[in-house]
Amino acid sequence: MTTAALATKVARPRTRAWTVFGWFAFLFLIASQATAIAISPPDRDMGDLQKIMYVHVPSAWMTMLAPLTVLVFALRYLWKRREQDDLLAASAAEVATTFAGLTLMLGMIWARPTWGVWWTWDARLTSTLVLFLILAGYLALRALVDDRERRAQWSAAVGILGAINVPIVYMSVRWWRTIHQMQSSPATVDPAYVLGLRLNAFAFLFVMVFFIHRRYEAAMIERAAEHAAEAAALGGSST
Amino acid sequence: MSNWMFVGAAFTVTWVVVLGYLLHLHRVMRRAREEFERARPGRAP
Repeated sequence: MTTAALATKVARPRTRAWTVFGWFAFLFLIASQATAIAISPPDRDMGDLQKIMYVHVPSAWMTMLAPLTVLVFALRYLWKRREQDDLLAASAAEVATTFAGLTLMLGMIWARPTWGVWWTWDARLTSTLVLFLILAGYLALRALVDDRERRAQWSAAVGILGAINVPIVYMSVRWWRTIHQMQSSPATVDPAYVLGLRLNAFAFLFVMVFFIHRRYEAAMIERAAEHAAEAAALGGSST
Repeated sequence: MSNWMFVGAAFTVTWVVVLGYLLHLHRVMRRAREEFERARPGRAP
């Protein structure tokens, strides 16, 4: 199916299943946060500040997962040259930028009471900021280039560059001496916090998937409108 | 500031960003649908 036909198909019926999934994702997020706050005891060192983990860590995971989604669809675009893959990569990049910004803000809120500063040029923080700036550059590039094919190719290259930064962000706490703690995972956190962390990780994952799909759907409808306008202009000029 | 104020700030920022992005998506979707309806063949310009 061509992009034009697929876009027109997407544009017409409202996708109820995804609306239901969206509601589920947000209700699951509320329930996960409430459960995590209710069941987790204060940490021995950080006290109740530990609860910031339930938003900061899942958000950080999505900040790394979304650019990998960009990578998959950017590579697929370069291989198959299907416009849908470019639009999916762009949708994932916009969501990745949102989560990267959120992760940085939450990190600053957590850093102030624990480290005594809002920001420090630590390897983990700096590499996450670099990832955020690459993603922001990706979005700026798409806004500036009009030619569809050139825009798709260039943004695929920037998307791949952003994804290359993900393992650097992940490993930064091991490769360099940092003030940031080692990676949090169910294997490294106290058992009292595992359930809350797992629930919130899935909640953020569901929200991220919903966001990417919704943004992709909107991009397809925008494309359908462009195709319809082009078809109308061609039809008008031929008469 | 007490610990709970930082915890409250973190959860508030999370919801502001998540709901803000949801609102952005809603607007993008509405605008796209309007453009599509305008451009659809058989519709008056």
